[in-house]
Amino acid sequence: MRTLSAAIIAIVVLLTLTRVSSHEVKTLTYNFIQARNTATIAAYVMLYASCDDVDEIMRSVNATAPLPDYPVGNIIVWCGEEPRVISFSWKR
Amino acid sequence: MRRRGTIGLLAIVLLSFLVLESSEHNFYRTDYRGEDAHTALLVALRASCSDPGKANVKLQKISRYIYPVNFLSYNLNLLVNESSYDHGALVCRGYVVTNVGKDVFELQYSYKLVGLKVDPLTGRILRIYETSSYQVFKLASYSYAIKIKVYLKPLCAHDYVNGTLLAIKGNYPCTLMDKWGNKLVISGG
Repeated sequence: MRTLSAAIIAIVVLLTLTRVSSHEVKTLTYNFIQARNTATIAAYVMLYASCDDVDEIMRSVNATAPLPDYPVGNIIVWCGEEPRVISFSWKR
Repeated sequence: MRRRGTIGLLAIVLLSFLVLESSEHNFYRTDYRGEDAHTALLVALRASCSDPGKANVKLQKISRYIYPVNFLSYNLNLLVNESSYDHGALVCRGYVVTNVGKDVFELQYSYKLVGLKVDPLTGRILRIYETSSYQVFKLASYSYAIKIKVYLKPLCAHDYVNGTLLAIKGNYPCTLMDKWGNKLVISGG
């Protein structure tokens, strides 16, 4: 009986650990902070940028072209009647 | 003994459940508050101030980019657009209702005549104006509003007194324009 209980406990604990670790909680939290930051940066750029100076403002906040393994944000600027969507990466 | 074992087992299961729950919570509880989506909507309103009728088309065009925020309704009005020799203003206010809440945008540009001055070089009269220009953005997910100062570019011969007051040469009208195409006209004398 005791062995069985121990086995069940071990399985439950192992399953929990597997599930939690497969979520890579730390990395994800970090990614979410970064995603939050790209959203905030995108908002900042959109507040201040117009079609003509958007590139300049993106440079001033250290935004680069989308990079692999980094969160990607999107901004929209209006060039006349058409929206222009620009993707960027941003690293702390 | 057996009862203690069962209680222990239950406790372990409960604890595991709590750990899982908190990690799921971490997983979904992002600090993302849709800043980019809400700002995109308000920026579309700003781009429509010169022609509020086109706001709907603009909002529809970006609605597919702002998932998971859904735009439900909007309102945009050019409340004040007056210009005279000694004072004038341009006020554009609008809001967008989304599934998250209400985003508000306001643009306030104004000028007033504070004096006249003779240009020592040419002997011509300069009109001195004090201008004020800012935009306010209130995102639904934030409890405060963001106010930004805007530079209005005079599209006429001009100068600055003390760095802030605008001096216009001659008695001609002058258009002040922000970089998004909104215009405030100072009438001629």
